[in-house]
Amino acid sequence: MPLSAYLAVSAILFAIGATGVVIRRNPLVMFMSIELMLNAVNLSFIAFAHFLNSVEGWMFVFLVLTVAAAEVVVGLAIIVSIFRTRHNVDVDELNSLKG
Amino acid sequence: MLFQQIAFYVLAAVAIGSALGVIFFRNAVYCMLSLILNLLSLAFFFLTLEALFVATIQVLIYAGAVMVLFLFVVTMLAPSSNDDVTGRDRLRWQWGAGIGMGVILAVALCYAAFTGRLAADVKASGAASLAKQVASAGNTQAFGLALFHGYSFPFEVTGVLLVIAVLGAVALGRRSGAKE
Amino acid sequence: MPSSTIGPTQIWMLSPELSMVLLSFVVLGLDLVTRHKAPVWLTALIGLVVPTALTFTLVFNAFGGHPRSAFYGMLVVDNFAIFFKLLFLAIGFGVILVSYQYVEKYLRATPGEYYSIILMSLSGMMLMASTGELISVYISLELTSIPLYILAGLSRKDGRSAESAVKYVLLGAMSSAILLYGMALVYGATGTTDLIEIAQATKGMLQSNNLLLLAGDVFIFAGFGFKISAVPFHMWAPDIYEGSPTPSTLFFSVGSKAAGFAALLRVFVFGGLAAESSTYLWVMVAIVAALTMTLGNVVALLQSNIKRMMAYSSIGQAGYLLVGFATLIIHNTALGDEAMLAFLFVYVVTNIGVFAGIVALGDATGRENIRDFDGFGRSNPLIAGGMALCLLALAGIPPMAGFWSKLFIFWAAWGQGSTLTFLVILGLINSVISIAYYVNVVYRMFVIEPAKREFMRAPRSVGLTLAMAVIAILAITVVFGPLLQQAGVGASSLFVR
Repeated sequence: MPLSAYLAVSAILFAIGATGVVIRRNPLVMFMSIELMLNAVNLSFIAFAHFLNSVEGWMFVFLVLTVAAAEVVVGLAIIVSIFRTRHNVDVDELNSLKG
Repeated sequence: MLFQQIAFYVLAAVAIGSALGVIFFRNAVYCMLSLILNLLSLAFFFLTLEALFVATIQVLIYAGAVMVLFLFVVTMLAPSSNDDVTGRDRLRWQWGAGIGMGVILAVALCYAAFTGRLAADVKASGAASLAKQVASAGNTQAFGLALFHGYSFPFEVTGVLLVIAVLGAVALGRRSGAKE
Repeated sequence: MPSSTIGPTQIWMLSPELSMVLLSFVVLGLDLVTRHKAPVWLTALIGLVVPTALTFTLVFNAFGGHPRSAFYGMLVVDNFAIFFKLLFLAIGFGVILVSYQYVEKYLRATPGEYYSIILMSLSGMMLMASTGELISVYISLELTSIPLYILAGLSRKDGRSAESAVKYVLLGAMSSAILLYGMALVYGATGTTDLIEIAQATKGMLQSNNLLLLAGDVFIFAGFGFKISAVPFHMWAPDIYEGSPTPSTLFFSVGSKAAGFAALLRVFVFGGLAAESSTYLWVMVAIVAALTMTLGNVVALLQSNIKRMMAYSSIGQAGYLLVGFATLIIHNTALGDEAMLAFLFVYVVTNIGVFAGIVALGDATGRENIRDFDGFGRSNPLIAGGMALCLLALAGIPPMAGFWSKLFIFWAAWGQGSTLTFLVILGLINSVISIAYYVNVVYRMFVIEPAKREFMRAPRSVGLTLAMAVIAILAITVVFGPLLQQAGVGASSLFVR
């Protein structure tokens, strides 16, 4: 398959992820959508690495994986801590700060 | 060749379908399972692109460890974490706008993907010259060489990053009223 | 000249960041030894001398003024990097100094945890200014941001703080995904992640409109747009600023913004993405700049909470900085760059002063509305006077430092041809608008009678922070030339590859 096909799949996944962040209000699902965006990017990197025959794309993906793990830990810790104080985590319901 | 094409289309369909599942399922647990399916399909994509080691860690670390942590939190919080029924109605115009934006983004990026030009050749910077190792040595060996030679610097930095993550989880997990 | 060896020279080049990380571990370990806040605070504060001294050794022996790179070009030490390293060290000093009383009173973290998280974030910021390669840019960006998410959620008054942390982590993670997508496209279009190589590969490429590269440019700019709170991406910045603990807010408003601009300049100027002046790119940046400063300054007028007002004010200030960036893209000379560096310096100093005042008020009354400043000038004339001076400097009242830095940024945009005339005029209008809300606070402090008149004690560390900020502002006002000269040295080193 040509590179463009892989890039197109990656672009569609990225757009789906971005849509998810915009339309969902549950922070857990928004976080999942962000993971979706990151993985779309990873697909682009691997495709570029394959067609350019260079290892930089692999390195990028490996480090993105590590960073995403760290981000998930911190993000989930924050979401759990907010669940402790109130039992509704709708971003729109988070309105003690008017935004 | 035909097999590869069939594999590509099947994987693309699974990946896009499961991605849509993530954002459209009402129940967060289904979203989560959809996401895991999506990660697995991407791991197969990586295999077709000959990135063996990355495909392996994608399954072991990402779809495995990280997503299990995620699933644990989701199931722990699941009963209270559904979007309520009225919520969707209230935000109908936002759904429309969001989906419209997503479609425009997808079309624009696909257009860029089909008309953009790839680099003519790989610049042999200090680290990138290791790319040649892929041909001579094995696939995973090349990965290791690149990671611990050219990319040892960012690799070391991720160590600090993981310390921060642990520290943050400890600090944020503390009951706030403990001292009071 | 990527060097592959790792020897004493390379370690020396990395030593400011290394010592910063070590310091953060030491501070964290102190929690095990002592239960008092003072030793931890003093260690963090005095320990900052080590990275500062090491940075100065790099200044005085900056390899004969030539930039030097290590670790396969991933770490670049040039005058630009050193300028920003010193700026971040000053920020760290101010933030830690002002937090002394605050930590125990309002945060659920122990002092050791709190200071070590700040120090790790600082080491990430310092790396951000001196990376020469996209992967390292991304990693150091995350090293900067992840501690900031934690800092946002540490307040003991759980509700608002946890809420702002959730918003911050979602927004931050999304912006880094967008940034990464841009990096992927640039990598695909140029075949390399090394900024110097990218600069060579992109020569002439933007004009031939390679859509991959163009889309990559736009996404990278958008990703940084979140970090510097430029307009379409500013959405939650006021919420995050309002809900977070005040010293953390100060850290976001100066540290995160300065680091964002450092990395933006590093990628776009050093990485050459801005070198081939693309029409699309500068039109986009100019539109974003216009929207950013107008929205920031106009909405700031309507705020009743001082932290929200400062959030919109910082959005407005980002708009002025983007005017400098647009100038840089069009003309590709060090002039806009130089003005941005000087502007950032003044912005950082004045913000530290203003936030010290907010911390003092919050400490005494527990409130942070603009109307709570009524009569502050009578209940604590020294603190109020210092804060008023900082506010006026931030507004850019003529003889003050803020006036010169703003003037210089507009002059750079104006002096290089008339393409940016409309931006300069809009910027001047905005400056006039902004005076209204800054002066409003000063007016309330000194003219309006307080409900009850009593002396309001301010913590000594806060007073000290404010005093240092005021001294710095006065010094910059009197001798603006040397600062500009240093900024110029830093700015022009970006063009030496």
